[in-house]
Amino acid sequence: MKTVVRDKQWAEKYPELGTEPVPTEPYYSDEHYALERERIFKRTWINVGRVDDIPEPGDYFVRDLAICKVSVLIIRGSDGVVRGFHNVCSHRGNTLVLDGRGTCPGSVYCHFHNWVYSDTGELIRVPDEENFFELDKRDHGLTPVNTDIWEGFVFVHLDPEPAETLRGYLGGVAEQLDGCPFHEMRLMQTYKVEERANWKVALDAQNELYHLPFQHHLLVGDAFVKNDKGLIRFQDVNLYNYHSVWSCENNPARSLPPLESMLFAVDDRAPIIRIPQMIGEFDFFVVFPNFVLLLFEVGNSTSYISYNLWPLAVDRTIWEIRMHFRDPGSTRERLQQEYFKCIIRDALQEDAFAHENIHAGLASRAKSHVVLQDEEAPIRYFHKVLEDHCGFYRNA
Amino acid sequence: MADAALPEAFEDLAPWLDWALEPERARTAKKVTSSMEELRALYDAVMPRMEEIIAYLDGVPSDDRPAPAHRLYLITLSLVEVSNLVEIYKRREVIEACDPLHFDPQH
Ligand code: FES
Ligand SMILES: [Fe+2]
Repeated sequence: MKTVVRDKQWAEKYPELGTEPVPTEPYYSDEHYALERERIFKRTWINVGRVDDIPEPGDYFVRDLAICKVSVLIIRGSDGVVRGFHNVCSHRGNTLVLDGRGTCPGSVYCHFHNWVYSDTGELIRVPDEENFFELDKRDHGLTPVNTDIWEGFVFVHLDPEPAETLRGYLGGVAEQLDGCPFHEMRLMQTYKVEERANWKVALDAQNELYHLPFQHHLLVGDAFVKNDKGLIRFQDVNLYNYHSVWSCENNPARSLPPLESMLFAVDDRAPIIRIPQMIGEFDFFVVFPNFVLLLFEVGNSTSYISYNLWPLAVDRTIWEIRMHFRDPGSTRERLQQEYFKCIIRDALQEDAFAHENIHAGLASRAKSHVVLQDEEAPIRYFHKVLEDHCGFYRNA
Repeated sequence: MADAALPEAFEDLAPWLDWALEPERARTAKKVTSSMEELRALYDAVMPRMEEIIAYLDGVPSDDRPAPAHRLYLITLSLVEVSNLVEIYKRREVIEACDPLHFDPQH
């Protein structure tokens, strides 16, 4: 076992995090939400999907960044390059593509007056063009949005001149996960869960394991290594520039429910496919601000889940959950994946229920601060990065 | 027999054909409208046959299953769908979770 079940080890490792209570206002303040729009969502790299979402030339998807009131069109051009554009027509500003995803035959057109754009963003046809006044089509292509790709993940940056490259922004996360075989794991299921909660309530509630033996005591309370009081200890916590990861080990002594034990108890197991970039057996990377990569083992393989927390309003969020697995080599493996998908989904349904209750409690303003224990250090770090960006208290 | 509902060795599972549902949301919807007794009955009928079913399905191409084998496969997915309720929660009430249908699977 690599886990050291010691108390207060993360405060020792990261003394600069401090131990003070964390203020609650950022969870419900409209003013803070406005700062998040201007200083975070318009000024950092935001994951919007994966290249696998648009494998063929002409494939596209649209991502509404509701907090910024911006709709982004991500499209793979006939030249194979993935580009991002504001999803806005150059004529009179109509929203260009109306469906969330699809494929276009080399061009997209606006439904208002049929202006046509190539799949690389140039304006190529204007009905009644002669009746415009010195219209040079070359000046009226789609407005590009900075778009870059890391390990198949597509990120956009709404600032026309990003302060950092995507690579620089991802920093230690990219160094840790470079070469991770994400492309070998296929999207099996996406859930979009609309919640009456601030996006940070939902994220923070996922960003610790303290709650596992309590809130999820039936489903997954025993999943990870604990101390002799039955409390989970991380194997490791790592903080990067803006981002963080906590890692833990599976509990080898967990007793399996009958179906799980039937599905997983086989002696003719294929060799275990591990991901060498993983730190523990369950790694929870938070890529600031709203993207999570969660890597874990299933049977003799590894899988990953991603979350995107999409703020719709200060008290409304879409929690997008995507589950990815390797192509199953057998019926048993396929059912192992289905089993994991269902048990994780059901545990996340317990979380979704809690998120709304937590938000209601915080928004009642009964508590000006929340107190965090050592195993909640990743939340503490997230709020530090949040304040570093927003300056809500610094400027107050 | 092209019109057999299930592969011959599993014809006795015919009472569970109404669980041969897809996509996932259809299985979840049936789960949430079934009684605990109904869920347990499905579980008790299918669980003891799982090894046999897996061995059978492994002999059929997974990307091109004949309709009877595909129905059998969907019944096993329904078993997985309900297993948490039967094995772990052991009840329908007082589960502190959101409505399962609130998790909208996208396709
Ligand atoms: S607004 Fe798009 S063609 Fe007129
Ligand atoms: Fe949870």
